[in-house]
Amino acid sequence: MYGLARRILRDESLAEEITQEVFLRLWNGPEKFDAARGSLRSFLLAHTHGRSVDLIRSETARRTREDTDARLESGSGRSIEEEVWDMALADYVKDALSALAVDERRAIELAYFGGHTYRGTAEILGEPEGTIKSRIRSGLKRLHGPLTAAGVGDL
Amino acid sequence: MQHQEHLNIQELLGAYALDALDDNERRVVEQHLSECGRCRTEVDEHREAAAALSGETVPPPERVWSQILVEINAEAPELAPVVSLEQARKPISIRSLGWVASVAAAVVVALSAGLITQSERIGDLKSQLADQEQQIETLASALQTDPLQQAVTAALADPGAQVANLTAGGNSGAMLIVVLPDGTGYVFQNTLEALPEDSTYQLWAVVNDKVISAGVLGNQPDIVPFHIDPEGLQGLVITQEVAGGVPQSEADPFVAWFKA
Repeated sequence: MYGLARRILRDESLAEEITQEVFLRLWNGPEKFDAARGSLRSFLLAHTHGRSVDLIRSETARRTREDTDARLESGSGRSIEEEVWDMALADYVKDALSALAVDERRAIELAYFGGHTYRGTAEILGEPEGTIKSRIRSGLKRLHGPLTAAGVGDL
Repeated sequence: MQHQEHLNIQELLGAYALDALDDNERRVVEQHLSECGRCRTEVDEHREAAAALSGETVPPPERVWSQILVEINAEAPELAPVVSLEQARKPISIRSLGWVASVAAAVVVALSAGLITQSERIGDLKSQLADQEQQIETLASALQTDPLQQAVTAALADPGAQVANLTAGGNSGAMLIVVLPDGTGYVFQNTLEALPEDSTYQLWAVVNDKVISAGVLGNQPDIVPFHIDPEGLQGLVITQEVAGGVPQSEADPFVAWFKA
């Protein structure tokens, strides 16, 4: 939870806040979690992702994030995509992502880790929106098998 | 028409699971999901894949947990919510059972660890408070007793104080004396038998091989202050003398203490 929020927000204290918030929300409303619809892990991570994305789409956090982006890009000369790719991804995640077509992988990374809408992602990649929409879906379907079979990591 | 809508929505499910829709599309999808089990299942699978995708292991800083515990305890000090988390398991798919169980267990462990730590802290605080109360009571009772008793209490608390236990083989009683570094001393505990009224106990200090009178204590001394030269103190001796005491004693030591 914390790792995901931090990767999306690139801000440790915001990531801490989100982790607390998501956990407390589960604590206060455990009935919202339905085990029939998936694991607790994916429930918590989905909430973490949703809250993180809400935040970066708000003005303040976006500014912080853009500053970090600028710093990262000017500092290392590496793209955010590369950063994301290298950032502590478990081997089996890398393997699974490698199994995707490059196009699918890019679209999923930008949307999931970058927090972009599929429209934003399309703009960044210079592709039609419909294409990106489909790539995200087909990529996730392809990931579902190997990743969920490989097991799960920490929250 | 409805089928077409279903197909259109289906195309959005991947992006929906990644929170990559704008608000309007999201509302449309959620409306559809409330009516379409097949699409719900697909979203669940996408979310599962996305969760696995974020399969990195970055634990949050310790303070996140403590803050969570603070919040939880501020709201409800009971462990009851964990029970409702268990209850929330409702229908359980085999796939997720392990996860729910292990996470729920981890939650219980983390929380009860926190609660135990907290109750230990409360226990610590309570015993500290009790200690303080006891100190206050001791002080209060010392204040209520006479100034001499207070002086003895203070003297005994002085790290530089010497406590002498004056005894003798043949006598069952003893006399306890405390001497401070500045030479102030107190006879503070006496179990020697009372003497006839025409007699007195007299205290002698052995200083640099000389025996010097340190005070006439009376026939039944309780707390008696005295003053001696603290330098070169070798021992303390009690003799029995005639009432009023003597400048030099011919009597044998009744009880005595010598510095080791």
